[in-house]
Amino acid sequence: MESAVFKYSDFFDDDGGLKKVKEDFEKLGEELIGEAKKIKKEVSANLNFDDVEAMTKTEAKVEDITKAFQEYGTAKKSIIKIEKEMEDALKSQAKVTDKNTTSVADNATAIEKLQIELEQYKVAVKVTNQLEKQGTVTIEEATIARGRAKEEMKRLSKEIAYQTKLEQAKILIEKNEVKTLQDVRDRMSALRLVVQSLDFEKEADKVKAYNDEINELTDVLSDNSDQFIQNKINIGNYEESIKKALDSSDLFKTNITVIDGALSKFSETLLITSKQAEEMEKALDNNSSALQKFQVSFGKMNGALKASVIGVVIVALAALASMFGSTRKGAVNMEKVTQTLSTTITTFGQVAKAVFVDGFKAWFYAMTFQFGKAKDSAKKAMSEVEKAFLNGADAIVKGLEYIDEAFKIEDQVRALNRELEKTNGVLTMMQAKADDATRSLQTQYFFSQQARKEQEKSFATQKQIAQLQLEAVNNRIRQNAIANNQEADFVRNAGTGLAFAEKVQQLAQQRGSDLAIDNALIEEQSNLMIEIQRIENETAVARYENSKQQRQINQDIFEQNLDLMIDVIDVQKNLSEAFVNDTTKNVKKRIQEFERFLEQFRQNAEDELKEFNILFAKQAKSLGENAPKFDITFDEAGNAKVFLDGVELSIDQTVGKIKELNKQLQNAGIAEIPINRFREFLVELQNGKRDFDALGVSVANLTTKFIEMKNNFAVTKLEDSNLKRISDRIREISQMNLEAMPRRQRLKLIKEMEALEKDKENILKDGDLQRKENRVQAITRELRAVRVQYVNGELVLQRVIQKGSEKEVELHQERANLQREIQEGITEDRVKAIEEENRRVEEAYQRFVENVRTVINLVLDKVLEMQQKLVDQQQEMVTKQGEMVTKQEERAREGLTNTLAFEQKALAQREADLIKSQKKQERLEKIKALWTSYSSYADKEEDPNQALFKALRDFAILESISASFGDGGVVEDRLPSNGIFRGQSHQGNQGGIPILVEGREGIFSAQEMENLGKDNFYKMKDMASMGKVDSNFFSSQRKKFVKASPGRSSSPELIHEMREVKRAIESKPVQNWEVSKIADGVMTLVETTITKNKTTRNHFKTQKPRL
Amino acid sequence: MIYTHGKHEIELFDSIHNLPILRFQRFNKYQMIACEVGNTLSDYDQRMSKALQFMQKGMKDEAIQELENCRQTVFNALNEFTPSGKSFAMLVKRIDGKVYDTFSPDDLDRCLIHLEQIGLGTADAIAKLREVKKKIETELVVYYPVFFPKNGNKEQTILRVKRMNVLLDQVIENREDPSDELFDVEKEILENDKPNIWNVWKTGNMERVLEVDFQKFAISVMKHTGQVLDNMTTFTFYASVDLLKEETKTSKKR
Repeated sequence: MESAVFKYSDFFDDDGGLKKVKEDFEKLGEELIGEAKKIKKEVSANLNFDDVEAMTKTEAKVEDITKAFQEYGTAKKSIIKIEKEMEDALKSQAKVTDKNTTSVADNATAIEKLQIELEQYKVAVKVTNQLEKQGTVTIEEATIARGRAKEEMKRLSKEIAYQTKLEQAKILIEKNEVKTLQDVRDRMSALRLVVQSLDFEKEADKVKAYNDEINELTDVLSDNSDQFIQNKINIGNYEESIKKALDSSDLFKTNITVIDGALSKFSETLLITSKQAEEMEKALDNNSSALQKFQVSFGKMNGALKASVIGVVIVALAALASMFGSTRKGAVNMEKVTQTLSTTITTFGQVAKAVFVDGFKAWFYAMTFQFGKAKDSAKKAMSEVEKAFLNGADAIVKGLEYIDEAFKIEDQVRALNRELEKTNGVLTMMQAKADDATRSLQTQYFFSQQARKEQEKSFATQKQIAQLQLEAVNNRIRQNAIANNQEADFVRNAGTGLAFAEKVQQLAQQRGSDLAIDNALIEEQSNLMIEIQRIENETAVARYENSKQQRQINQDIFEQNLDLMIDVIDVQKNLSEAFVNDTTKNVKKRIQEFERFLEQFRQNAEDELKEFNILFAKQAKSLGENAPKFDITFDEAGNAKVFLDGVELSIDQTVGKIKELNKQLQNAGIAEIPINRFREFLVELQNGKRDFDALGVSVANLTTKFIEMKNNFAVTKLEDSNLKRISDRIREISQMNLEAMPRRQRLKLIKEMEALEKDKENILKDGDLQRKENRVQAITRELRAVRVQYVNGELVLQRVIQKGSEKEVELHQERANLQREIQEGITEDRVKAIEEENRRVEEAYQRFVENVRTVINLVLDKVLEMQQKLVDQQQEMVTKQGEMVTKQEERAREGLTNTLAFEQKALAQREADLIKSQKKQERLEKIKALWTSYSSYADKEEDPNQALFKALRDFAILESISASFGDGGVVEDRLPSNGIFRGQSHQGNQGGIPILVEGREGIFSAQEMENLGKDNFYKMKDMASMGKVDSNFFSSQRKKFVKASPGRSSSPELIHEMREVKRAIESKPVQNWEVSKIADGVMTLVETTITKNKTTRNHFKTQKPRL
Repeated sequence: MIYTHGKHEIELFDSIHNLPILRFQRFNKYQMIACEVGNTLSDYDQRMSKALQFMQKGMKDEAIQELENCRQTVFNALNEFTPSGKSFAMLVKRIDGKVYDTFSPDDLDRCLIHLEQIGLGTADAIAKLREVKKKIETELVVYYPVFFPKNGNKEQTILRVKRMNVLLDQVIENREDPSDELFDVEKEILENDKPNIWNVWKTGNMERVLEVDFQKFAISVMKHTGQVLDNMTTFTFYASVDLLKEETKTSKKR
């Protein structure tokens, strides 16, 4: 949070720093807001009213962030303020720069105008002259016109000179390069000059800025002022300061000890009084131009002077002449003199003598400050020289012509130098503009072309200057050669210009030290030849550099275009991808957009390659070479093939292929940057291909997904419509007044509600299943989806989801799961339906069984009751019959007629009937018991057979027990759990008596006891109590038993019992009940009694009891 | 509980099971004075700061009261009256052999001098006091949450939360000027936290409320329960109050 406050100094002077600070600052603002959001979330999510401590901590956080935000606000205001100030400053600076640039251009235009005007006047003068010659105008008129024209020309020349100077000053200011004190001085004078040309009111800012700079530079100078000024200021002694100044200047240094010494002495002599010193200073100042000229001449003369003492004279003479001549003419004459003297000195000894004598005189007078005499001596010397000239041979005259010519040429050179300077000024501007990266590349290119033109012009001028200088030197050599009279023939036949120079240089080589031409001139000529060669070399290099610059710009334009195209296609790609992936858009349009953009991407790739081709064409044109050319084609699967000059390039991104590609590109002479950009292009292309493939897969799946969605939507619509119908009906029902309805109708509605609920469930379930089904179909479509691919040059249909891919397995898995779920859903429904049906049937069956049981119970009760009545009646009838028998016996005893036999027979019959009925009653009881047992088991057992089996088993046991003791037997074999036997009568229905047994006793049946007799029984008992009874006991009975009984079975007890039961059942009638008809509450039962030889059926009808 | 300080033993009432209710009441009073008046430069600054807050919200009367309390702070400072020290002395039962069974202001002063003599300065005493106070508070919160809830002023808490949200919204919505809403909520907070009167010569002063009114209340409780106030522990006292409350509720229902 501390960083919310900034030190302005951190960024105020930093170029670009403010932008960064602003960005950082905005980021900080976003961080603060983010932090605030985070805390707010914490406040709302974690705040516990009981946790006062935690809340206090959160409050402290809030206070901190609020404080930081306030500081941030303050700092933000400061930054905005600073930014505005900086913008203003930059605008102001830009304005000044623009003004400067404009100003320089204005100057150039103004100069051009002035030059044109000047030329017009020159032409006007020529025309006037012609008119004058032709007599069209009078001499007076022509003179006046010429005078005016010359006045104007003078003014214009002056103005041009001023404007040129001003332009140079402006260029100098713009260059803004200050390295040495001289630069400081130059800049100061340039600034002063420009300030003077400015409008103080309209350009006050500029004036102030320049004046400020002048002040700054003055300070710089004051700290680094030259020795002269320093001494002048510090010492206040002119003599010393001038001496020091002279010593520190190269002006009077000749490297000739004698002369240097003389000059030194001369300077000392000169500075005797301050007045004289001032005069000297003034003179020096006035003659600075002439002195400079002298210095130049002196330098050229240097070599010759060394050879002759006459040089001393000439130097003195020249110095004096220039000193007192004070004009350009004087300087020119002096040059002529020195040149002529240097070459003709041997021929014209008398001239030398005169010069020597008078020269020394002049020198002497000058040194003794007898300037008047010195001047006279000098004049005399000059006149002697002039005389010598006049008396000289033709050669001298001719030589002077050459010298004149040389001077004329040098005049031309000076004019060309000025022109050159101008051209160089424009050239510098053009180069500066061509190098100005803040301008557009096209503008830079334009200025580069302009710079080239100016450069050509500059070099042409330079060459012309050098050639002219060479010609001037040639002329001097010619003069020199004529003067020496030795090489005159050579001069006449050696041609001009460079050819002449070449021949001179050859001659010099041939002659060596015998050459009678000034060695300095030979040297100068050679240097100028080298200079011409240098200019030619530099011209070639500059041309190459310029074309290189243009190529560089073209390359930059190419890169810019390429970047723009890449950016545009990237943006469009993102937009297109967004559109294709935008689920809110129409699917068809999304697919169309994908195809459209694919086409555009390919077109863009072609366009990008065209940019390469344009670049290659331009570069090749510039270098004069053949341009390589790229081509690209796409197959139907979107694979690109790139050709270079018709040869396919290997664009696979494998190491070997990349090397091969590089070799192909290198062989085509493509530069490094285009190669790199081409590599980028390939990477982009392949990335695009990859992205399109991915997007293509997504689009391919889109149709599948869309169909699925549409199907799902249809399902949902159907669901909605059905559910709406159900909801509407439920609403209708719920709005009905159920209480007011009859019960029957109410029940019907309740049933309908239940059915609707069921429907609703089914609709939802069906919908769910249908959606799953849709998904299964979609997966199947997705798995089957194919697209066109090129494999090894062959067009093949390839699965979108490849076999063996993870996705394929996932989809298979999903489909299998869905199919299982669908199947389970269907099976579950079926099972439920079956269960429901079973339950319904079971319930109906249970109800029926209950009914049947009840009915049977009732029937049996009724049958038993009726049977009992029958037994009772028969009992009664037996009793009555017994009474009748008794009555008949009494009648018989009384001798009365009786029907005893009949009655006895009737009694026997009735007793038989009674027994029969009793037996029947007994069977019915058994049936009832069996039925009860079965009913009981039927409730418990699921398997009816099992229930029947158990009932029969129980029944069989009961039957066997009752039967066994009827037949006798061993107690332990029938031992009940409590040891109590409640047997029943073996002969009737009176029931037996309970006996208590240990379990190992044996019981004889009544019949056996009858057969055995009591006595035998007790005898046997006694015998048995006496010890083990032998096995032969009852041998005859045993034998009979063995014959009658089957072998002992190894079966379990139950089987044995069952056999017993079987026997019992076989020997007894079997009853069977069947419900033949149940209708409208009436049940018809049929009792079927089967004995071994007889089947009896009894039909009963009974009302079905109400449930 | 017996604490050792060097070679010395200090026995403190550090639990509501042994702290007599009258001591506890007086202990509370000194705690309140420490919080609302105090005697240090920091306390003075707090009073002034609070007074300024009241003034900024146009609550002139409250600002004046806070300034009155501020004067009281100065008075305390000049008279070396240390409410926190007194508060601690209220909990001292015995120092070595010397038992402090009475707690008049002079007794408390003597106790503090004794503590000074054994090298337990006010700063140490306050540190210890915090520890004991925390223990007692915890016990009260546990046993009698109705009388001593964890957060006694939920309304104030709600307002503080509201203020936090207003401040955060200001940052989130990038607003530089504070909103009226902030002014209102801060005023509401201050209205909920008005200063008490601690000048014993003014009506409604807290000194009287805490001493006299509490005594009345305690006597009333004793009357109903038949217990002796002097020996009653804080635990028993509040249990009695709780019981009375329940009985009152039951009788009302009937």
